[in-house]
Amino acid sequence: MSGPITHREELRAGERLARDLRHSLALILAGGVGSRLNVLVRQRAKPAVPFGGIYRLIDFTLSNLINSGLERVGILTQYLPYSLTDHIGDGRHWGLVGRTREVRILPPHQGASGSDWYLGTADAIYRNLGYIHRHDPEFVLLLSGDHVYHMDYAPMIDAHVRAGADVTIAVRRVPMEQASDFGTVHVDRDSYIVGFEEKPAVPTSNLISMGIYVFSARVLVERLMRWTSTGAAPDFGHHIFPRMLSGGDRMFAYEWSGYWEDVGTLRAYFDSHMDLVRAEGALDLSAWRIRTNLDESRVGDRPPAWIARGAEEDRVLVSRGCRLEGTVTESILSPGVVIERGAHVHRSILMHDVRIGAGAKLEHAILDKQVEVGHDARIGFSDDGGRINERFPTHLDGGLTVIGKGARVPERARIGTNVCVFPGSVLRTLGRPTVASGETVGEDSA
Amino acid sequence: MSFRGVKPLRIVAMILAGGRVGELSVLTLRRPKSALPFAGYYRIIDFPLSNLMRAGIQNVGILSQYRPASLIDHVGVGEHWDFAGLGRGAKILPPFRGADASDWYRGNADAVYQNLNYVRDHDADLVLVLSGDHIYSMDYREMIERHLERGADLTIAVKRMDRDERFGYAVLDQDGRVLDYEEKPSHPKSDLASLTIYLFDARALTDALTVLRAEGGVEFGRHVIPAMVSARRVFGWEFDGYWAYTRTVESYYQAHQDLLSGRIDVDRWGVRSNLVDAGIAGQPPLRIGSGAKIENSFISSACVVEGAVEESVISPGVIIERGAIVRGSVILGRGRIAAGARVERAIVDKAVVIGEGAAVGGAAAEGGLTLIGKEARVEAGARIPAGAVVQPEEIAQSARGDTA
Repeated sequence: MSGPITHREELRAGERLARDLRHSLALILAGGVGSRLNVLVRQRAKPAVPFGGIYRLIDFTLSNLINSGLERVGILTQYLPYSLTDHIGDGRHWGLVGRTREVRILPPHQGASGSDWYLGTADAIYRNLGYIHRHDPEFVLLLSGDHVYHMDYAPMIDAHVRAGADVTIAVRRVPMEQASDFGTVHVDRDSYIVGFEEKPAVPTSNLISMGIYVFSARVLVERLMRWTSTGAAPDFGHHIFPRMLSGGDRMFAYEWSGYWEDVGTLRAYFDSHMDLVRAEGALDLSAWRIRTNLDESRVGDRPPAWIARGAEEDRVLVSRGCRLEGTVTESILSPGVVIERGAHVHRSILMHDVRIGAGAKLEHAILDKQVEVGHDARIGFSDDGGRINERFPTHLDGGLTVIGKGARVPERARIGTNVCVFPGSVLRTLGRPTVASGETVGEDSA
Repeated sequence: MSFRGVKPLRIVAMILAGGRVGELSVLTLRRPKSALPFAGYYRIIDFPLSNLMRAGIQNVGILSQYRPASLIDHVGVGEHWDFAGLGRGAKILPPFRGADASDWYRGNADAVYQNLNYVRDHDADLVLVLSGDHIYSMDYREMIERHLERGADLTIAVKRMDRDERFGYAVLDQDGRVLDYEEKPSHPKSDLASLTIYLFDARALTDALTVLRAEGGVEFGRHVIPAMVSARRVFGWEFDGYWAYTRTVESYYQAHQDLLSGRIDVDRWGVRSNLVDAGIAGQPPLRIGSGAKIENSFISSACVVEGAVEESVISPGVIIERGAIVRGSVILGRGRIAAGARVERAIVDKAVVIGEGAAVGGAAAEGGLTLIGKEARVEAGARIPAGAVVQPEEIAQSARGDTA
């Protein structure tokens, strides 16, 4: 055990870490479809799904990067990249513009050897080896673009260097019954990984991979060239990590226990939002310094929220340009939401420019952008028994109702729980003023 | 036969953003009026800048000599109003010492005179002179259209107002030509007040300022316009929209009342601001806690409200704790109104802490508006009566009334 480190040693260690950060390249895997988010991902990739009023999911990862001092970022996309491309822009909103800073969108491309769509996470990185070569980093940080969390990556890179590891995987403990959704790891006393299983049917460890990896760049490139170039090992969890382990690579587990949510399901998405409005909620956007692109959806042009005389609000997150005349409780309102007089909104997520007509009542609902609800409509009633959704029984079984972007709910309509309304649907023309619990309505354009 | 090509019309704007020390009491001790925060996210100068943006005028010089730091931060290179890019630009033009020993601007016309090279450098045909402390939404293109139609040397925007001593008044003939102009007369001959929005032909402006400079003329209202009325083609252009002038603490407060009553509609007017300045861009939405009671108020991002807010306008990052009451007030940001405190008819500058159970201001019957300077602290339980002024960074125990 060494003694206390001197100030001089502290400065030298800090200098080394700063150098390691400068020599790191971050790659965000943003190609996920996130199909369990149902209508929220019909028209956008999962990392572009709105969150917390003014953010998109990828803002968490991007803000973590800049807050950690990492300044070179590539974003690998493939599924519905438009809203993501618009959102990222030139990266200025995250300070990722400048001589040594950049963010690049890396779409799939056809290479000399005739590639097309990514076959897995490792394949996606393999097909962008040129980008890695161009930056010639010492370390490559691989991240997911669709998790809600606040993490400083610098200590993880520091731990990777100190452990002399070839790869370091961020891990956390979850209840054993959830472990089968993730890659699980076994570690030795010194936190080196001795076992890795991707989504095991019967997990033997509740220590799971968070999908955050630090690679020594040389090792990453060599392993991908050796295994992935042949098409045999397209995925990190299924192929690369087990091979690295059996091949004797040093794999280190960096345990982390802060707030982290893989909002992969509607229920998780909803619950994370409820964490935002609870007084002692674990999710603190202010302290996390999450940044976003305010030029999009004209967010930056909108005035402060206006709350009328007679309006009642309790535990609500309210964005710019909202105009509230009704009652809103335990809800999240994105910019430009209008709640007319006498309307009641309870435990709901209302995205950009949603309008709720006078006297309408809704609870336990997620309304995507530009949904219009006519006056005196009811959404989320369960007095018909609240059956689970027939078409999406695993997505909508807990009483949530989701209404896709731009859908219109006519005046005095009644919509039950576990209902799915596809984007752009106009319920009136369907001639169905009542949608019973568990039904799915509208055109599935996707 | 030679073909003479037509040059596209070039317009530059010059915004007079000067201002004197303490015009609005403690609110302008450290910033010019044009940089005063307004309606949560904005500063007053955002109104003329946004009007220019919408009119497609791409070059603007901002004349500032009083504490320009907050203005420089706010305007930046003008990208937020689309002034950034090749051939475009927003520039702060501070006083400078030239070859023939100029120094501080001696008046608004003198300020423009000293920056005539800005007009020349842009090869401008027309110069639009604006003030940085007006709240209005105007389509300058209509004014420009009329100016060109009439072949004017100067067009002055005018508005019907009560006749008082605050403005310059113009008498127009039936064609809109200015027959007579008087600056701040004690008995105005007309009810058409100048809005100090001037559109000049660039050559006429240069000639007039050069002649006047020799004669010691330094103000548009007192010197330039009367001289031009007799010698040049000067017209009035009547504007009938909302227009307010943040000349006094009362008018600044009144403009916020007009915001609450909907007479000012920053959303419909398309007013833009700089969100990077003051870190507004990185702020989360407003959080309304349980127990909050809000009535007819505008509340910005990063605020947390657990108390009562009525008829008030709250800038970003203000914490209003449980049991606190904010009524008829303007709170300028990053402050904290502690539990049980009461703030009424007050203007509270940035980063002020009002301690637990403190009472600041009072109803109109009790006195005037109460002002709390930037970064001041009102101690728990202190009483600051209506009409009192707490200085910036002051730690106020209790204050007497009318210390202004």
